[in-house]
Amino acid sequence: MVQNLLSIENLSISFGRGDKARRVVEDLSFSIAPGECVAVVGESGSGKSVTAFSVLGLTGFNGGRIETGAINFTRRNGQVVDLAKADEKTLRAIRGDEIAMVFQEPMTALNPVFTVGEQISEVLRQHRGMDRQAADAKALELITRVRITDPARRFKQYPHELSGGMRQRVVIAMALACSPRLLIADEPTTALDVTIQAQVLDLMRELSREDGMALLFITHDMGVVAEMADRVVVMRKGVRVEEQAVGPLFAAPNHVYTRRLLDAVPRLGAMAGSTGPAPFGTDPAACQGKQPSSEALLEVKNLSTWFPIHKGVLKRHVGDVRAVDDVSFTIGRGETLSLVGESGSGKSTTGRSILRLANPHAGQVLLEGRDVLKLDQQAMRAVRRDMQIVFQDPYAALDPRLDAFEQIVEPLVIHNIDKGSALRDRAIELVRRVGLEDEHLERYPHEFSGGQRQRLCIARAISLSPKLIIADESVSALDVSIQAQVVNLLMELQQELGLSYLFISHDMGVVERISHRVAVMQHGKIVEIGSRAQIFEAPGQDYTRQLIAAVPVADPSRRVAPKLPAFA
Amino acid sequence: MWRKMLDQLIRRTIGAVLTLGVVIAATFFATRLSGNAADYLLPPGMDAQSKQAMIVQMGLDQPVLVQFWHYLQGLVTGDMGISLYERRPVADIYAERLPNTVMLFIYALVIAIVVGLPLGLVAALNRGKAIGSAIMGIAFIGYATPNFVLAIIMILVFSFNLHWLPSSGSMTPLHFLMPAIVLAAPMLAEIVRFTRNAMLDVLGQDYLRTARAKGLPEHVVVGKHALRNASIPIVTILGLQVAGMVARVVIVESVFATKGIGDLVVYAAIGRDYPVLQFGVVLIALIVVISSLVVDYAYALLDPRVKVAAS
Repeated sequence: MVQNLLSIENLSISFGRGDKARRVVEDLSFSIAPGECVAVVGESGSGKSVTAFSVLGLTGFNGGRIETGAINFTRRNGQVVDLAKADEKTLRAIRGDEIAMVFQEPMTALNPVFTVGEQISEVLRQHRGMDRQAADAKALELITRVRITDPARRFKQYPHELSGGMRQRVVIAMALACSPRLLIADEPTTALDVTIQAQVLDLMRELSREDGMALLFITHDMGVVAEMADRVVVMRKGVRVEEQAVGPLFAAPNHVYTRRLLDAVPRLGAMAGSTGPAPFGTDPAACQGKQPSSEALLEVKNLSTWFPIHKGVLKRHVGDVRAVDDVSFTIGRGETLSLVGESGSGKSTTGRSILRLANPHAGQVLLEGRDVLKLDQQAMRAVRRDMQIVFQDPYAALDPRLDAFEQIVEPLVIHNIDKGSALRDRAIELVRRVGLEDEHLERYPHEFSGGQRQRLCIARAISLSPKLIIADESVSALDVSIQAQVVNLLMELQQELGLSYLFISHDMGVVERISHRVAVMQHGKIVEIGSRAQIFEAPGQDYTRQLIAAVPVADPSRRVAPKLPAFA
Repeated sequence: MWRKMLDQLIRRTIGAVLTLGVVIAATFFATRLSGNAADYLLPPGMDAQSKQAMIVQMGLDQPVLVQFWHYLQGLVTGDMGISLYERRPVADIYAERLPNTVMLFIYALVIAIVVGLPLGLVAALNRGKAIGSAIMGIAFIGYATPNFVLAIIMILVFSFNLHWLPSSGSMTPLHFLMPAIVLAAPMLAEIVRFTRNAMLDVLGQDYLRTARAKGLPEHVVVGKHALRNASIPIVTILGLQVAGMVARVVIVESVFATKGIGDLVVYAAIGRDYPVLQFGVVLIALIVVISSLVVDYAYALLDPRVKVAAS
């Protein structure tokens, strides 16, 4: 038997001290063989990231404490070290050299005031004792290796000048600098677009194969697990609930929790043949919801929103960013139109323009025949009752100093609809409607989980009985299982209240579930629009096919060999 | 990218010049509103005729706008006028006084930065421990103690009791030590506070975790990755503090009898010596405007994102 590269034995980690101490990892054991990819799967709060950091010996810096257990790691020289007990000097020699890490947030993982070249070269100077020139040359090589185009120019750039996908490549280059034996990847693609995600996953898989590097992959996304892992450890509330090779796990999970995680994964193509949307966990064919009416609620005609570019001392106007460029579509009553595309394609700006949160410079937005863009302030305020928005980040969208009751009733107060005890009654009705409980009304945003917060935002949005809700990436920040529940809630509300949705998303799996029709956006224009079946089963554009192909397939047996498009 | 940065800096410089213009005009007219200098400067028993002759000689008989025009012409050509009181060129008076104030400023700045920055760092790295709390306590006292109180206590201790330092004057560098410390004290306290807060903010950032995950030793993590980011807000506070120092220099120079521009301006204001007062205010405004310009330039150098934010 091959000696394990890493073996975690009976690991327990706590945060806080005294009465406030919380166990976040409890008696965890698993191992990784050299070159193997092990995925640790679980929802937020399952302790998976804490475990990852403990392997790097960074638990203390995060405010945690390893209570018991061992993290045995076999070093290059064959020596076995217990990382849970090793001194700081030994850990420092291992970090970045033998074990490296790729983080979830490429936006914040890089230091904003140093060039990306410097940040890579630094690792080599630290561990390989290279001089600046040699380290820079090697860093440039690494940037090329992670397939960033124009590496010489990128080398000298700062993180903010790079896109999210490119930054994550830089972080990967940094991690690979010393050819580590183990790479820890903590949700490395969660913050990225699907198409970029597919590229980054391919890249990691290929590089790990080339270097014979083992991967510890932390994720909540079963689709990603199916694409990457050899073996899977499922964690819940700090405890390992199941461990299996990836094939058997997907075919026959032992634990009910694993089953639930798997069910929540949107499977592309699951909706083939059905016409209407269908909630997760139901059979699309059996799902007979109300059909949307053919009468148009919202008509968007030739909408354009440009952002001016100014240059020079006098701020001359030299051009425009055409964020939304001549976009037209309609949404019927009770209908869901999804707007899909990558970051920067103009989907969010389209949504904001309809609400006049961005300033469109041409076109019409007709709500029940009235042009919203031409209304004066007072008339606009009245119309806002009919159009509401639910944002991506529910935490940022709630005022941290208002309790749930105040958040929900604020629109009712502003529009002078209810007063006094009627407000309380309405608030109770609303929280119950979105699946929260009466006592939640007294709580503040930080006391809720992510999914509950988004339910709160939905309650606030429906408080005015709107006709249209713009859902701008409303479920993207949520864990997969929570995401399924919130999407189901949106669908229920549509059935009950006859709501229309403009559902803005980059997640094709969710879009397939919820949509009646789909519009695909690229570079500010709608490149394709049609019924759900048309777009998913017979896409007419290459770009649409690309978006669909990039979605990870939650089926390890359908894993395909990596195809590596150069990054533009 | 450099082009953008240059554009932004040119815009800032134009703004600074405009600010200075407004200050010049405001001082000129405000001093005129405060009363007639002739009434104050000339002896009470003077007969009307010679009084009028003096007024004409000082140019105070002309319409205010004409006086302003002459004043502007003077400023541009380097002629700052004649002190009404001392009867010699304003430029000469300032040439004597300015070096003392500049010296005092430089001493104070160096003391505040050299002592304040490391103390702030130590306080941040020892948050919640005795040493961290002690530093913050002392900083708070330094911030809350009025200048003149600190000045008098220092004179009592170091001059009268211990005889270590001279209590007043500006003859040797040693004479500047106490006034510089008093001038630096509030700034030092502010730098300690800001350095600590900026460091605590930065220490929680993801990129420091990245730096540690690379295996960098702690002194590189803190001294390079954290400090460079923390220095951005610290530089801002330095710019603001220089302005505050200008206000305090008036008191400090009076207490220690340092012959600088602070106490010159005070006496010019009391004696309605318009030319001296005006130039003093313009000079002080110039110092403030230049220090905030320097902060802007430093900002652009320290933070690569600033260049883009300008677009």
